[in-house]
Amino acid sequence: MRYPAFMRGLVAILMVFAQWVTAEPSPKGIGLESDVEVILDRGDYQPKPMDDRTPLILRLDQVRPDGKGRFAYSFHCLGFEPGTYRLADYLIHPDGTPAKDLGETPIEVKSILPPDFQGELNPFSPSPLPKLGGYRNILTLLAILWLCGLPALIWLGRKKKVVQVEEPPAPAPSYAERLRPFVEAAAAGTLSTSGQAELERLLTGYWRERIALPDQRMSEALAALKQHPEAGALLRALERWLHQPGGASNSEIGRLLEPYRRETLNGTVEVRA
Amino acid sequence: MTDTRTHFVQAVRDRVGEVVVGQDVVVERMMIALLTGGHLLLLGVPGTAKTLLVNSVAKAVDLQFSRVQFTIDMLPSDIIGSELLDQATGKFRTHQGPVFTNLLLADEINRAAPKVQSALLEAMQERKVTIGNATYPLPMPFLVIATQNPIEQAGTFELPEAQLDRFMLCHRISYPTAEQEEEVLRRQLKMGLKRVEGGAMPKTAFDMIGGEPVCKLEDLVSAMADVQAVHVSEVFMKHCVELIRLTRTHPAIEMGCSPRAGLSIVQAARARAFVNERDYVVPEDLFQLAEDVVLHRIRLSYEALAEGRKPEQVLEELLQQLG
Repeated sequence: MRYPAFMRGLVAILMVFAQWVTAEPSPKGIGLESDVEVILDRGDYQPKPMDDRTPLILRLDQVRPDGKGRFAYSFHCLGFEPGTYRLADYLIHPDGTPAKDLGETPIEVKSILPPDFQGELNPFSPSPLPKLGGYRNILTLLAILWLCGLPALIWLGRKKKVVQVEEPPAPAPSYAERLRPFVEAAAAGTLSTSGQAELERLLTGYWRERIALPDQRMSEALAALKQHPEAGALLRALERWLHQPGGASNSEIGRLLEPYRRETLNGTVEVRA
Repeated sequence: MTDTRTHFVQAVRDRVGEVVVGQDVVVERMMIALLTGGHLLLLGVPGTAKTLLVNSVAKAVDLQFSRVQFTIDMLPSDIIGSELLDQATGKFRTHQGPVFTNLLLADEINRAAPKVQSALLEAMQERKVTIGNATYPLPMPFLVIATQNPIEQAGTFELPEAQLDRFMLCHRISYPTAEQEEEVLRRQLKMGLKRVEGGAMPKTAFDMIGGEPVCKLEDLVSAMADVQAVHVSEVFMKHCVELIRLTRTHPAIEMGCSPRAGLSIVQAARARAFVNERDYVVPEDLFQLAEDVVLHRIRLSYEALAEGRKPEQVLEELLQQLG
């Protein structure tokens, strides 16, 4: 039985046919059936029956005229042992006589292994890196790497913290600073209605911040401001000036606002609370 | 400020004070509603003299008074009236409901179905009622004082914002002080029995309401005219508009006040100035009335509610921002 040798060996089939139209036959697949086309003078050649010990199997697939008075044969060829074989040994005429008229047309099967090869294994060459372990260890290592991949991706894909240098917010203007333009406008007699409303709110807020309790409701805080000698006098005068027709003159308000005008120029208001 | 005007306000206050202990602020709010024709919603737990107050004021000013206890099975016709078939004549005649009065007390208005609330609120807004094919004007003055219990909400229909907006003021009645409660008990001990046709019952505060009014309707009309003459400065209007606009921009408020709120503040401030014997409004009127005018017209955002903030706190922030 030659098939084990076929399965083991690395066999290259190289068939060279003298009558082949093409110049050089190309190597066929190792150990695999190859398709070969040959041009012969006669079109009635038939494959010769072979036994199971034949070193070469040749199967005829198709015969067709090539248009030049000759015939193109398509063979399936499978070689089991290297060597040079005669095509005439594998074909016969229709009457069963050997096809001696084919002459020495060769079929060559070559092995890619060296002639003195006796089946030795490749010599062991130690790896420059130490082996970490067996197959299980490698799988474990790969699993660890795989599991580490997700955290690594998250880590690499995280948003880079943008270091923002926050500038300290500008300090809120004090009541004195906010009051200044309105008091000046009131003194000049050019305060608009909106300015008057803002001036009243600012003065109320200013005194509420000084006198009222932090949790005191606005309505209660306003009542407390009215009781205060300095704040009460000012707020009542403002009410008469802004809300009562003919209640307070500009000069009266000018006198009341004079301390605020003077002090706001220095950025603060002195309060005798 | 003339003596007549001073007399009107003080007389009503004195008469109410004979029956109700304390609650000066509520009386002032009722006077404001009366003088401006605005409607008043009173929020308070049971037993805080809401009905007694309204009764007292109505009797003191000689106004027609009706009281309707709202329930879930009421129909709009129970309020505004209906057409009835007179079997004697075979013709329909119009039966005018309790809304045809000067002062209507709508007790627990949130217990009625929305269609009944809508019927009443339509009458409040338009001051006329359509029954069948005929439209009838309501008497003048026409004022609705409605009450709500803020605690018990089961089986009630909460008034939507659009309808709450019809109320010029929404006042939250608080419990009386300890001294006032003691005075209530003392007065009760002195009331004695009410004897009728051989029977008797212990008197209640309702029996103590004086029979004769202290003011006539003409006095009220005159006072209403005086209220319309109270001066409102441009500066005050700017304060009002600023407050209303702040309610629309505050991050904790989902729905701010409508322009009707500004109108209500100015009208109520005029009446408050009149009650306090002034010819002009001052910012104090704004700060005192803000809670009653603004709170029922704003709705906090879900975020603010989730943070546990209350409308009163947010309004106080706005007022401090204003003043």
